[in-house]
Amino acid sequence: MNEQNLHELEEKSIYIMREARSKFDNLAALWSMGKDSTAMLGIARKAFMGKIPFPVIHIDNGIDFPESYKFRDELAKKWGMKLIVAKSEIREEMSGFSCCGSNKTDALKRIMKEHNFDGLIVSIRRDEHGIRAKERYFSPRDMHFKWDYKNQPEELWNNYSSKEKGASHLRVHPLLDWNEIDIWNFIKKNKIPMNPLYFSKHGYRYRSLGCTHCTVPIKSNAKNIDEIIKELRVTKVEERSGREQDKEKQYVMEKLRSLGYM
Amino acid sequence: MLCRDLMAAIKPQKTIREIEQLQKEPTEENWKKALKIIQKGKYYYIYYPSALKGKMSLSSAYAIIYDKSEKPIFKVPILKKTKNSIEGATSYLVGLDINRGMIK
Amino acid sequence: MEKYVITMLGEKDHGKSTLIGSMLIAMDATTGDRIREAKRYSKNNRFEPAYILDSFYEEREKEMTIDTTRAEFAYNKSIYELIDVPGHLELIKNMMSGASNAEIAILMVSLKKGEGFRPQTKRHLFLSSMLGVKSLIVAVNKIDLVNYSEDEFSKMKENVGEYLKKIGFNRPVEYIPVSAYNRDNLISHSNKTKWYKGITLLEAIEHSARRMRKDSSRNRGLRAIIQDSMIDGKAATIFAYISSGTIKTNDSVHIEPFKTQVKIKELYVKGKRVKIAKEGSNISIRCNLNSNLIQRGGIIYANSQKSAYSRSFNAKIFFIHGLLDRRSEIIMNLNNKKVEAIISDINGFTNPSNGNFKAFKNVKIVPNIVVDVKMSLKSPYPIERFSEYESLGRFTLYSKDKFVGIGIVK
Repeated sequence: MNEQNLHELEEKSIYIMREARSKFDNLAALWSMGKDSTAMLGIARKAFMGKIPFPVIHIDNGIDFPESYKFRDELAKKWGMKLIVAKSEIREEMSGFSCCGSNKTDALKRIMKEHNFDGLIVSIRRDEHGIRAKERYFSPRDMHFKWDYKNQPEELWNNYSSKEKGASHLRVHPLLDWNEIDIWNFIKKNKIPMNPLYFSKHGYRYRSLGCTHCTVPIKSNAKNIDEIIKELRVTKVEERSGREQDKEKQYVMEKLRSLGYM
Repeated sequence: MLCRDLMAAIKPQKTIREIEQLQKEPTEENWKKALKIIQKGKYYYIYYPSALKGKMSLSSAYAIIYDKSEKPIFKVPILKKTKNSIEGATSYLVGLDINRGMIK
Repeated sequence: MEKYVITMLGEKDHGKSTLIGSMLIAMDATTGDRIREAKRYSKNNRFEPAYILDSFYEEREKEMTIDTTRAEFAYNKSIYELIDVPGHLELIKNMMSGASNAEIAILMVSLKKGEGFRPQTKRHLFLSSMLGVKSLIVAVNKIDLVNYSEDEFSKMKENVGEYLKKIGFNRPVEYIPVSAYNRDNLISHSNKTKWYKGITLLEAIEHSARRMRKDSSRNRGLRAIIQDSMIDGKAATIFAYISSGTIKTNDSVHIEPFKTQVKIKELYVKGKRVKIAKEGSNISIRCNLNSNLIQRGGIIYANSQKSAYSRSFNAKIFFIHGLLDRRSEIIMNLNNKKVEAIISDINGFTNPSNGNFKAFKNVKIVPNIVVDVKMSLKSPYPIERFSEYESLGRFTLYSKDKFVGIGIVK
């Protein structure tokens, strides 16, 4: 994995977040209590004089890790977040990606409409999955929250899209250029509080965090950030190999994105 | 891999009234009543038995609560029944840590 | 590690994607999983390196790039990101988006009969110089299909060189005979082109990167672009991006086009208070100014410098959509600031697919030609020459809310 220049990555992300705050009337951010979205909030504090000047949304399907709920409430308080917990409907029986997918999209649609959010910060990275590699920094979503991946708007230099006709909102992706190891370097350097599930106990830890149903731990003895970084420097396995939904065929992944989930 | 065989062998030690009530009727009220007892545990581990079949069934899923020596003490559901629907309820386990000793 | 962005240019089938795939394999920058998957996907049992790249399902089915594809490899403590862009004219918007952030470009031009240096390739070249490419590597591809002929290579080199001269491209150019598929001259010198005494593609990439590093330490005047402001009681905090130069606490600056004088009381970078901030930094400034006077899009200048703001200026514009003529109203997007303008004069146009310039005054502006115009602004705004302050001298164009083209200030 290639470690990039943190300074440049941060500057770009800060620029994008400031641009988002300025452009949109009602900006919000998605937070999953995972390392990426937490790092994103850390970057926001650097961009806005220690404040997080937009509401933070947690789409909660109710079966998240207890450690994540605890981490959420503690950090939200510490960083003075305006936290919105949007409960997503969960059904008795579900399978495959619909368990974490479509229900979360519905909850997101509901909360976006309720608050009239026109911009949404999402912490995806290009290196997470091939499909994400094609995302723009500012990416419109239509009324049905679909991603028209075959017909994306232009994004030249540092000129980013604004709301266009037919778009319900724009997604803002400040972490697009970051690698997994860059995120950890940032977390280490800035002492960002982290979900304890990332660190090893009994020889296992969680590399990528979804809900309790979808997340599978990996074998690892990395007990702290330094050890995680060391581990990442050696590994060639892609991060999300522990997430059930990603094992679906590539085409399905694109459909998921175009459906507005993720 | 999750150790499904071990799960069959675990027999929770005590049968407590509040826990029994909760298992029968996982309503908000019963969760609240059971909370104090649940919080006496130290670890949890959640099992999704239907996952082996590629499905997700909330009603058959459950969490085993362990004490500080990782001994299983009782079993709780992970959902909550409201008037019209069901909700996930793992947030009631906040304060406990996941028992990674159960991962195999 | 430093990262350098390199855009691929050239037509479909000339080998852009194959080159990237081959580089990734050669530089051990891909996973066994991907190679296996690519092998499985390759038709006719001929392994196609391009399949290693992240593509849309439709791109693989149709065997063409629709939107930008990225891949990166590390070498000698630097990261090189290769961006593959679509070659098709209809997808030029995607090509421009991908190429706009690259300072280095690799042009693939095929020696295969029936392919060659064609209008589409010429258009890519012209556009990339408008987009700000500073270093060009011309990979003369499929040398294996012409028997590794030195003659064919030289002819192509001359051909391309002539066009570059015609369009006034005066940046460094390197010509390399390659076979993207067989990896000739990509990483190491091929023994099939013993007549070629130049550098390999990898070396050319490294040299270009080194040149970028040297270039960026130029001494230029202060230009900071205001993005936003935040009110904190009486004091205003200005958020700005230093596009060039440096700024220090206690500096006196002026903000245009508002003609406002400001003294920098407090300066912050990434949340920390600093005395000095350099080019490339996003800063927060605290000063005693009513925030109503500080608007997004304002440009901060050092007091020692007069701003070059104007009501009208000459520009080169490239349209991808629509029809315009003299007196047409248009919106410029300059660093995310929308500026209203009118095309006040047309001085001539260049056809980028052959580089020919014609000094016609009374033309309609149609897609895919580069037009020399005079633009007038509704209200004065700081404008700089592209050749001097790149990021203040380039803009995207919108008509009726639709993206219609790009322009640079002459």
